[in-house]
Amino acid sequence: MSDQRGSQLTKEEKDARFEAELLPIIDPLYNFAFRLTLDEDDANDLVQETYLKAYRFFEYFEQGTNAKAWLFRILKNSFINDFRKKSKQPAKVDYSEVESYYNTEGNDNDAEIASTSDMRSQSVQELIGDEVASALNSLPVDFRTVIILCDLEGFTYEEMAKILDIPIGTVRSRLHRARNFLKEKLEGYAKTMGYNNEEDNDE
Amino acid sequence: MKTIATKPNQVSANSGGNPDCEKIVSLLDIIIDGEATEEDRTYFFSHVETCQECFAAHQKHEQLKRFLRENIQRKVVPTNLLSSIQSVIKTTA
Ligand SMILES: [Zn+2]
Repeated sequence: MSDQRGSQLTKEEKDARFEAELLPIIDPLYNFAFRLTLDEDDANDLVQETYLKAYRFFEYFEQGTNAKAWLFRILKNSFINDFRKKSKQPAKVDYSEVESYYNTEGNDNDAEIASTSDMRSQSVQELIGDEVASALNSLPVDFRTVIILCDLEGFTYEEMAKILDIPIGTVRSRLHRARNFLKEKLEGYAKTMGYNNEEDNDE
Repeated sequence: MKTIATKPNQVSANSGGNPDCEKIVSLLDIIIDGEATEEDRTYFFSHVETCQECFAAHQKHEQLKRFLRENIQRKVVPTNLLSSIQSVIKTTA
């Protein structure tokens, strides 16, 4: 255990570097953990575990390289090895109420739509968020993961390939399938919310 | 816009079996993610200019990406998480 690598650093120096380079990433890391586990406590544990591992293996982290990708990779591996088996099933939420609300109220005529978008403040925004999150959560975890990494966290394909240990071609095909799945899921719902404007172009 | 005639089509999402359109669909992701080469981009945008279906497919793909980014609410990190990590680190050799 007493490998001498990286022992040039005193504990104070190591801690200072760790704090400066890795701790600022806690926000995206926690969000990633939550989107994977769909549970706040599990996300909390997963982030703790990730940082602890990162600390133990900090000597393997090359300063100045992509700290965010490195941490995401550790977290994703911890998730697969330790969490996936015991992770709780995503709670089944019934969104049919929301859907039928928009299908009946929103589609009638322009006046209805206008009054709907007047109220498009907080509560409606939250409903959209819930709907989109539930569509995302219903994806198999491998597909959900590439969407999170690409669309929510802005990683490049190359970074994703490293984080996930898969070829870039696989990143690409997973993204494609995940997006097609989401489009299908969200289509009927989104039409009433102005996301899909295709109808306007039909003539 | 050339229409290349019949290839026994498996029905593909929005291509009607046109091999150009099929290629466009396969480029959608690298285009919206900024991962396409200059050559791919040139090919893509010159096709999309004249092909209504591929134009719509591109719009949709792009809108989905934006829609997700704008509507997935970010979680707030629990207040004690950072400090508990820091204190574990301090006591770790
Ligand atoms: Zn086309």
